[in-house]
Amino acid sequence: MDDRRLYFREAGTIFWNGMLFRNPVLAGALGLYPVVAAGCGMRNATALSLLFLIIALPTQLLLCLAGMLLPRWARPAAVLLLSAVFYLPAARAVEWLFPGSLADLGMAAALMACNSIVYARASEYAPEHILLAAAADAAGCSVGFAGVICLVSALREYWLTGGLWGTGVSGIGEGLDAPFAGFLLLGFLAALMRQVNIQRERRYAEVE
Amino acid sequence: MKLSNASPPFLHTDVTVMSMLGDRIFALCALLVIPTVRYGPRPLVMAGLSVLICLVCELLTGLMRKEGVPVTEWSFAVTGLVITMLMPVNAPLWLPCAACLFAELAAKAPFGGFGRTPFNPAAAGVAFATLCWPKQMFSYVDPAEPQWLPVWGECSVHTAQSAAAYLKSGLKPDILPFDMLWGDMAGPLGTGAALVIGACALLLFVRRAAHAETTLCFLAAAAALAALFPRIACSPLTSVKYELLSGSLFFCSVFLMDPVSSLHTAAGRCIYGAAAGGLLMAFRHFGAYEQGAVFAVLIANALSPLISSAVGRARGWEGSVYG
Amino acid sequence: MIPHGVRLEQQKRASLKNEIVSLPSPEDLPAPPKIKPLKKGAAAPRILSAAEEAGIADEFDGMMLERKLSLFASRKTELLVACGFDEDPYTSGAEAVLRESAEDVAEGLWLAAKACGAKERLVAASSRREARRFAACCTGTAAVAAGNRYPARTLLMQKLRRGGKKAEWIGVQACAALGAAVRGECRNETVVTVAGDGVRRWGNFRVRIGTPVGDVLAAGKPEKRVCLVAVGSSVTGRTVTDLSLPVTAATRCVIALKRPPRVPAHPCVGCGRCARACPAGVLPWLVYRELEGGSPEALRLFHVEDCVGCGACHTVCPSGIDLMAAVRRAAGLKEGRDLHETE
Repeated sequence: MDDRRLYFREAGTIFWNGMLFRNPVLAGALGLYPVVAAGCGMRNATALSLLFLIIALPTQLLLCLAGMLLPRWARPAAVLLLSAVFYLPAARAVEWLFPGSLADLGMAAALMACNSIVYARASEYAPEHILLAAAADAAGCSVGFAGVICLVSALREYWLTGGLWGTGVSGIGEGLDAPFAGFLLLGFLAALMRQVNIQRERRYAEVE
Repeated sequence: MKLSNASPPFLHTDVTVMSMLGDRIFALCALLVIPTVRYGPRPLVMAGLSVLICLVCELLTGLMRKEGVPVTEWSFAVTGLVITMLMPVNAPLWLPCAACLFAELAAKAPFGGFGRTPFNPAAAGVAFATLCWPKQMFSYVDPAEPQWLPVWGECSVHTAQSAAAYLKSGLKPDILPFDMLWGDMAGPLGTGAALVIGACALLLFVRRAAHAETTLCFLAAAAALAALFPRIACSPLTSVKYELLSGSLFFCSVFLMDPVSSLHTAAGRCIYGAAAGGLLMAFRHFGAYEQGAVFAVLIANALSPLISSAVGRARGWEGSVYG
Repeated sequence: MIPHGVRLEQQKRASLKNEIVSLPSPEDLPAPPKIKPLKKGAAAPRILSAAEEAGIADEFDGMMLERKLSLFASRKTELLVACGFDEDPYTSGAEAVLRESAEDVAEGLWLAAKACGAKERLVAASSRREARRFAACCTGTAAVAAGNRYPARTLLMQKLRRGGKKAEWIGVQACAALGAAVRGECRNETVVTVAGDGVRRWGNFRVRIGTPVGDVLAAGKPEKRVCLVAVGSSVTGRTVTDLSLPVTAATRCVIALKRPPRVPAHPCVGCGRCARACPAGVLPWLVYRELEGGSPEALRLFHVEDCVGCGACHTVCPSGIDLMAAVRRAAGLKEGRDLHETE
C-alpha cells in the first residue's frame, strides 16, 4: 500500500516537472516551432495542444511498453512511425472539435507528427521508466506545452485583435504574428521559469 | 593629513564612458535644432519623453537587479534620443515611448544593461515600432506647408511621401539631391539634415566616440550597391546621391554603429560596416518597408560574433600558442 | 602602422620651472663613504668597483649599477642609452638632471659604456628641444627625442632594437653619480619630483637616499586635505600611508593628491583604445573577455607574457577596467598551464 502511494506521489512529481519546473518548451527549448510560428490565436493554440496530447500520450505509453526490447537505434524510427499513425485520429478529433482549424494551422499541424518534445520524451524517457511514470510525463508535458502555447497565443491575439477566440475587433498593433514576437515572449517566460527554479533550489538547499 | 591606500593608476585620460556618451548626446541634440525651428517644441517634448521613459526603465531594471539606483552612465539618453530621431515628427507621443520601452526592457535589460548588449537597443526599439505600427511610422508631415505642430495630442497634418518611399516605388523623388542636404523633405525627425549629420559624425570621429571605418565602409558598401543596382532610371551617381541621402541610411551609419554592439578590431568593423550597408540596400530592394536600416543593423549585430571569430582566426588568435 | 602608446597630459612644467633644490640631509643618516678617485683611463673593472664602492643604484629600477653594467657586458650590449626623461607625466627628475648636469651625464655615460663594453652611446631626451640643448652642450654624445607617447621608454627601446642594435637603458642620475665616483665623490643622493594637486610647491628636490618621504613631501608644502601620497610613478607606482618610509634610488616622485581619480567601472565598450595603447602587442580587451568568460583558453591569451606592466591599458580604458591586473592574471594562468604541460 505504501509502495503504491509512493508511486503515485512520484508520478505527481513527474507530472509537475513536465508541466512546470522542467517544462519542455521553457526549460528544454523543445517544440519551439509550433509556439512561435502558429501560436497567434487561442483557437490555433488549443488545436495544437489537443494534437500534441493525442499524439504524445499513446506514443510514449507504447514506447514504454516496448521498453528495452526495442533497440536504441530503432527508437527514433519507432517514435516517428507511431506519431504519424496517431496523427490521423488526432487530426480527425481536432477537425471535429474546431472545424477549419487544420487548414488554418497549415504546415504546423502536419509537423506535430515529428514534434521534438514527443521525440525526446518517447525515445529517451519512456522506454526506461515504468508505465505510470511515462504516462505522468506525457500528461505533464502535454499540459505544459498547452499552457505555454496558450499563454503566448493569448498575448499575441490580444495585441493583434484586442480580444480572444476571435472576438477582437481592433488590436493594439500589428506585427506580433511574426515569429520574433513568439521567441521574445518565450524568452521572457523561460527566464521567469529559470528564476522560479533557482528560488526552489535555494529553498531546498536551506532546508538541507 | 589622513592618508589612504589606492591602487594605480593615479591619473586617467580624459576619455571616459561618460565623455563618449556625452559627445553622442551633444551630437544628437544638435540634430534637434532644425526640426524644433521648423515644427515648434514638439520634437523637444518627444525627445524629453523618450529619454524619461528610458531613464525610468533603467531605474526599474536596476532596482530589480538589486543594484540600487545605478545611473552611472547616460546610455539611456542616447537610446531615447536616437529613437526620437528615427520617428516622424507628427507621430503620436506614445509611439516613441513604446519603442523606448521595448528597447530598454527587451533589448537592453535582459542582456545585462549597458556594455553587454549584443543588439543596438535603439535599433531594436525602432524595429519593434515599425513592425507593430507601420502606418504611424511612415506617415510624414509635408514640409511644403511649414507649421508649428501641437506639442501634445494628435497632429492632423497634410502628409507627404518621403524620398525613400518614392525610390521604393521605383520613382524619382521630387526633390534634388542638393536640397536633400538641408533636410527640407518628408522623413524621420532627425535623419534628413545630412550636412548636420556629417558634422556630428566628424565630431564623433575626432573625439573617438565613434569609429570612422565602420561608417565609411557602411556608406561605401551602400554607395557601391546603389551605383551597381539603381532602383530608378538614372545615372549611377544620381542613384548613389538619392540612396545615401534618403531615409535614415546616413543617420544610422553614424549613430547606430555604436562601439558596444560592434566589433573590437578595425578589420572586423570594416567588414561589419560593409555587411550592414549591403544588408540595408538589400532591404531597400526586397524589403516590405520603405526604410529598413534598423533591420539591417540588427542583422549585422547578429553577424558580429561570426565576423569577430573569422577575423580572430585570420589573425591567428584562435589556436596559436606562441602568438 | 598603428601608433602604440597613449598620449598623457604632461604635468611637468611647474616642477621644471625652477632648478633642483637640495634638501638638508637628516641628522641620523650616516655620512657617505669616502672613496678614492680613479686614475684617468682606468679600465672597466676599476670603473665597476668604483660604482660598487659608491653604492650607486640606477634610479629607474633600483638595480645596483655595478651589477647592471656587468649584466650588460655579459649580454654584449652594443648601445647604451642614458634615459634623460621620465615617461610618467608628473615626474621630471631625469629631465632636470639632464638640464643641470649635462656634462656630468655625458662623462658618466662614457664611463658606463667603457665598463660594459658598449661601442655606442646615446642620450634620450624628452623632446627634440631638450635633445638639441644637450647636443649643443656635449658635442661628443648623440641625443635623440623619446617621443610623447606613454610608455616612451618601451617604445623608444623597441624602435632602437628594431634597428638591429642590442641596446640597454641606464639612468642619467646613475651616469652622473658614476662620473662623480670616478672623481672620488660619493653622491648618495637622488632627485625626487614633488607634484600633485595636494602640494603648493611643485619641484625637483635632491635628497639623501634614506630621507623620510615625509621630509620630501614637506618641501612641497602639502595641503591639509591631502588624502593620497603615491611614490614611484603616477601610473604604476604605489601609495604610502607611513611617511617615515625612506626614499630609495628608485623613488622618483612623491605625488600628493586631494582625492584619487575615480573612474566609475563599466563593462567593456569595445573602443579598442587598450589595444592601441599597448606597446607589447597584447590585446587587453580579448584577455579580459576570456577571463570574464570563466574558462579562459590559454591559446587566446597570446602575448600576455610580453606585458611590460606599463599600465597604459588601464590608464586609457574609458570603462575604468583594471586591464593590467587582468593581463597579469592571464600571464600567471598561462605560465601555470605551460608548467603543467611540461610535467
